[in-house]
Amino acid sequence: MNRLPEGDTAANLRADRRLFTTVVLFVGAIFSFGASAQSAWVFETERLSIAGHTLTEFTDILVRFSINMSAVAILVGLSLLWRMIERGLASVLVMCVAIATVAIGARSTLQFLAGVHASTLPYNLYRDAAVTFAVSLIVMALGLAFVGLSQRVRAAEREQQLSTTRATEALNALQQEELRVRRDVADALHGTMQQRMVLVEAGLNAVAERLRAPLDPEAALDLGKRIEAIRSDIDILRERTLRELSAALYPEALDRGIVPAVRALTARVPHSIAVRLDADDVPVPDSLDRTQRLLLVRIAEEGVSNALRHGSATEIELSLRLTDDEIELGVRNAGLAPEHDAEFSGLQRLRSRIGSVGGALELLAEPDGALLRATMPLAPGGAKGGQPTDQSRSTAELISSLAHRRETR
Amino acid sequence: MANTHATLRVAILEDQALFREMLQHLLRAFPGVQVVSAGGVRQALAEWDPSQIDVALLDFELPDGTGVDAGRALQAVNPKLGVVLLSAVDRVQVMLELSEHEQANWSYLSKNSSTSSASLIRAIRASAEGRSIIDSTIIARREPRVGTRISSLSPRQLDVLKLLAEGLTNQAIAEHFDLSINSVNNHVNAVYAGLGLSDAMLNPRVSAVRVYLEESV
Repeated sequence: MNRLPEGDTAANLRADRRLFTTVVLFVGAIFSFGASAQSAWVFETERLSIAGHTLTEFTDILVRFSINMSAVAILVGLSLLWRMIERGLASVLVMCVAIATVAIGARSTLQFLAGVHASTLPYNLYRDAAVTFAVSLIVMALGLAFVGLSQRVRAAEREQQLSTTRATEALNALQQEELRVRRDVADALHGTMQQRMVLVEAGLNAVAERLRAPLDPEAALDLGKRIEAIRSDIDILRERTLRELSAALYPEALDRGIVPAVRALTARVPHSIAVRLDADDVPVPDSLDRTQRLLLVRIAEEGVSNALRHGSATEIELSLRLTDDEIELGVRNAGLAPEHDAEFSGLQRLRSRIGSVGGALELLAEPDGALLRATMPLAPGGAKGGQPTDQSRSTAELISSLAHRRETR
Repeated sequence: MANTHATLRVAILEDQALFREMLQHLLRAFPGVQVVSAGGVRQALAEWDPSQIDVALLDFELPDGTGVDAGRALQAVNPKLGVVLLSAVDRVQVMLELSEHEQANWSYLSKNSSTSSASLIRAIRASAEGRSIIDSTIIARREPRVGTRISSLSPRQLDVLKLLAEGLTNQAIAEHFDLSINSVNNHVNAVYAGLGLSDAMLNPRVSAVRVYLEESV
């Protein structure tokens, strides 16, 4: 959608042709006039005559100039006809030689007809041809150089625009994500948290009510049980609900490394699912920055919850592999294979995020399950550039840390 | 080595003043216990002399770092220093980030349990003696994950492993189950074998606890 005007190659080509024509005609005209003026004024060559009449100085120069310009016109015409500016270096060299040769031939023929070299020695004729040949090559080379320069400027502009677009897209995605996660966290606070707090409050009220009157031992025992039940409710609130909310905002152990963060994630998976983490060759702490860790944790989270939700997984194996220039995360689950072309919105979102730092994310069907595999270059942004700015990076860190869907309610 | 009669020098690192004072208060009630305290990692490392500390009682999450960072820094100066980590939520898997060697005298206590002076002093004394204790309320909450080595232990072997994690000696385990020390030794060896550990390892007890933490949730 937002792809760049790179597509409009026809317009670019037209512009390049105009540029080439202009440069060759302009520089060619300078050489042509110079050569004509030199013959007339510097070497004081004998003036041309037509039908026995010697031409005036002005007309003499005009005829010589026109002959030279016709050679220039041949340079331009053949170059355009043979589409020289669109070809590779080897073709360009061959064409230049051929075109220059044709131009010399045409010029010499016209000069002969106009009697320019009537009194010139053959030796000088060769010299004249050699100079013309060199000048033709120089003029065409200048034209080509200008075209090359303009193409490079265009490419740089395109790259600049592309990376700006990429950064804008990444920022938009993050802003969408911030909204979504804020809503999720707010929902959880209003829903689960509020309800449980109300229950705890009601329970404490009931206990307080009972304590207003004297208690027999049996009632005291009963109250003790109630207080114990309230305590256990608070325990669940603290250890589970609050903890999950906190992890939704910022994954546990993220500051200590990718391995502790992924391990903390696996600890949230019920013990009835066989989960293994294979990350022996990743050190703690590692060289990843927090943004990179965060993205990988989110992908691992998405992989695990998809495996549980869509793949009815009984076994999940997470792996982290580190090479010199990239880190690979795998989430493999035994269970159902993903449906053909199954794509979940969460995955697409994560794919575009990891794509914006030069990484890749794929969901593959395996003989007895599925494999979600992410690769990320260690140098953020990779060779493609498009790194978020410092400001958007810290925003990214805050925002995308929110990107966790509560799964267990 | 500290014992009940000698002085026990404890350093408390806790950022919440109220909780810090409560810990100080609890510990000063024990004869021979000397207490210093700090509210942040930087302050602790600047003010404390690790060679003058037997046990550091460290809150897990602090405004300027973690108790793990602080404990490692202190042990770098005084390797014999024991560490007790305190945490409001169960983050016991952080023990897996320690090396086996480090883990030997690190204990882990939930903040709930630390309000009981008995379990608090028990963890501190154990770490001072170079042992490792994991809070029994945290152990009680954990379940073996299916498909793991510990899930294939017998119920009695799993109970023995849990008590090892809680820092009990074989003798204490024997008393707990009212068994002979010989049969406890046999159970312990069966646990090591079941986890693929050998008795000839440097510290099979610590290794077994690590496997337990890794394979239970």
